[in-house]
Amino acid sequence: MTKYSGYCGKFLRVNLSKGIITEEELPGKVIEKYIGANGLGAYYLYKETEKGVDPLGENNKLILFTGPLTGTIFPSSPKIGIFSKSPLTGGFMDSYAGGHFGAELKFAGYDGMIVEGKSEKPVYIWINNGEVELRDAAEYWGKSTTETREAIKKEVNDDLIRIAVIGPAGEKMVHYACIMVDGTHAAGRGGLGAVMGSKKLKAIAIRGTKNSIKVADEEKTNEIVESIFEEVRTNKVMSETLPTFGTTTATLANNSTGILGTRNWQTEVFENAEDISHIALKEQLFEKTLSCFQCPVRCVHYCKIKEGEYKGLETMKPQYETVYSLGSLCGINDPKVIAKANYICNEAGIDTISAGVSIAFVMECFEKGILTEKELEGIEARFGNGKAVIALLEKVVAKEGIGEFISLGTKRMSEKLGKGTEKFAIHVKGLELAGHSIRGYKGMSLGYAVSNRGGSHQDMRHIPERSGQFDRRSIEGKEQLVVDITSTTVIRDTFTYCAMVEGVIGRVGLTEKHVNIINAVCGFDFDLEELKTIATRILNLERCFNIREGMDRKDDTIPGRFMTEPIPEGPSKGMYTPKEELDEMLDKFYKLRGWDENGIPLQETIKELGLDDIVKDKDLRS
Amino acid sequence: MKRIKVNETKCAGCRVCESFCAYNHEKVINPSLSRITIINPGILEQKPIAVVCRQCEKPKCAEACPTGALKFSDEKQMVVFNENECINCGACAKACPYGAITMHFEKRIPLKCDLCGGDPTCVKHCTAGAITLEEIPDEIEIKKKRFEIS
Repeated sequence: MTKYSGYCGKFLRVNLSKGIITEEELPGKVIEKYIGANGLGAYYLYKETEKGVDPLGENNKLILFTGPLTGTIFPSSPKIGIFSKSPLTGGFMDSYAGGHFGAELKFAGYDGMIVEGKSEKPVYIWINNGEVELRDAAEYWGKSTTETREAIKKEVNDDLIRIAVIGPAGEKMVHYACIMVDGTHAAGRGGLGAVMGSKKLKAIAIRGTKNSIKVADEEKTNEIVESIFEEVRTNKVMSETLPTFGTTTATLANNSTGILGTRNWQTEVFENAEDISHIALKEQLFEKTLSCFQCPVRCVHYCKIKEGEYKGLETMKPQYETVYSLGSLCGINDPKVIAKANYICNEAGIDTISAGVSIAFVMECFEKGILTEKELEGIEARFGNGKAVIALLEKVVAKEGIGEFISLGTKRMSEKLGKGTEKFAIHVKGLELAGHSIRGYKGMSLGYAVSNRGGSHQDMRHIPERSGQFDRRSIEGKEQLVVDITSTTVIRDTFTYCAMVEGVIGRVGLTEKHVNIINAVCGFDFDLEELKTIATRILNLERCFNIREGMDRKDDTIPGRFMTEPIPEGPSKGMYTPKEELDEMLDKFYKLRGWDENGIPLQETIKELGLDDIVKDKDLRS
Repeated sequence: MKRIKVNETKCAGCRVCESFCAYNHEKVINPSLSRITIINPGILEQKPIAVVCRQCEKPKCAEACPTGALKFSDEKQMVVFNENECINCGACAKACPYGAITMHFEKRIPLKCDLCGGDPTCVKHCTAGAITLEEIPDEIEIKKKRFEIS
């Protein structure tokens, strides 16, 4: 058992090929080097997979880890991090879900689990405090995420268990299938649901009541926690905006700046943005405010469609990212269509961002005559056609006909189609872009390009540039800004706390605040320099994973559209990031990171970060 | 008498109350050691229901307690628990018709809301404002009195 508080000190290893489940100690030395979720995920995935491992093969692993803040009184830290080699990008993937699952795992006695091998028949993992077993899931295979969850609750006779589950899309290994957690949250990105499906693992269910979590320094922890609670009570965004609207106020905020992805990013001004604004969603959909475990912010909304074709349909959220991907990006101006699409994604278990971006790509191909109505099986995939969005989504989740093609994601679709479509295939490293402009922020241009995940808005953050704190139109100093912001996001995902409280803790650069939190809760003795090294270590290890799998500078890029087509209208008219600008930023960034001109970490960088025990030079330079 | 009331329309189901309750009383975090529990039934967990001691004027827990470790205190106007008299039998938890008492899984003593001595931590940390400490009488006893049900 570890001497550090906030941990259970052990994790589960579940071998599905052999049907063997064991407990392993989480070694103190590993904790000191990698702390939690993101760090541990990167460490074990790198260490335990071989170069070239097939993402959907028996040798890939699905790794789950909580952070040491999860299950403590620290606010807004409910996350479970899920890690694997992504079928969508072929690189390192981490995705984090809220809800109550992560905390329940700790209360059952485990910091995480490593799932390896592949079962012959569908199974689920049942963790009943210290007793863990594989159970037959044949009767749940093919069932929706909700049906499965409800059935497992009945089977184990406990309504309050916590469940991570895949839907039919994960079973069919749709490349952007997600893992649904507690019904209302998703480890959405990068196809982790497909990895779970490839292992014939339908669900992980937990009852955790017997393990208690301690904090190391109660006095200091209380002081920090109370100050964050006070901030949540008094800060307008956290006490009013998020509980009332979730993150959906971003729709109008981005539109008024002229950076709202619209019709597959052909423009960044959506003339119907008011129709899908936070106010419209509140009026037409939101019924009740909900929250994740131990989160005083409350950004989740239960929705019920009140009228029209989908009247009575119940779903959770949608948040801004979904309003972007399945709304403005597809030219959709009806919140009810977005809610219906959100429902289909949640029940079948696919990422709403990748799904929306993939459909927007198909729509542009259709309007340009590259895909015909016949090829789309009679679906008139024009921007703004809500029925087409729903029909295409239903085909994707069933992976039937044209749906099988769309389920590949934008990168592979464009590779198959050719005809210049790669220019408007909106992804980075294969991961479809989140709803924050590349052209409208020079820092995001670099941040997206170098993100280890690809098109994620959770590595580099847009807010410091959106707020005007940094000049979004200038490339000056953006290499340092990406270093500073990603050092906080990787620590956020390592501790773990939610992006909703990033503002309170600090977005640009690690500070004593980060150090004080982790020292107080866990009993570490880190100083700021040590924490900075840990952040850099984790980011470099993810990077090394990608390099090992064949990525380098060529993959640190952005969609052609954003390098050649200026934003055509609105307040950000004329903005784009030409290749020369991106290259200049990349050169400076690599230098700052201690990487060579091809973006590969130098041998001395690896050594300085203490990664040479697992990263071998031959993995990076063949 | 003072009682904890939960406005379930406001409750977001975050269970901050459970974490702080356990931490305040037991110095550890574990919802199963909390005196208040938020039950989130239903497929989307959209209707959280709180289970917490209602400080009955005529408490079934006290009736069932063989040693008098639990009783309604006229002075404090709440149901009080005296650990020294507890024989860890669990009769109180079985008897409470509201499910408000559970047993500590290690110490085997009842987890019974003590209103944190008058300043409940659950009330303090509920940013939704769903949990309040109210000065209200036992409505069940009032109704029984009026309709002469003894």
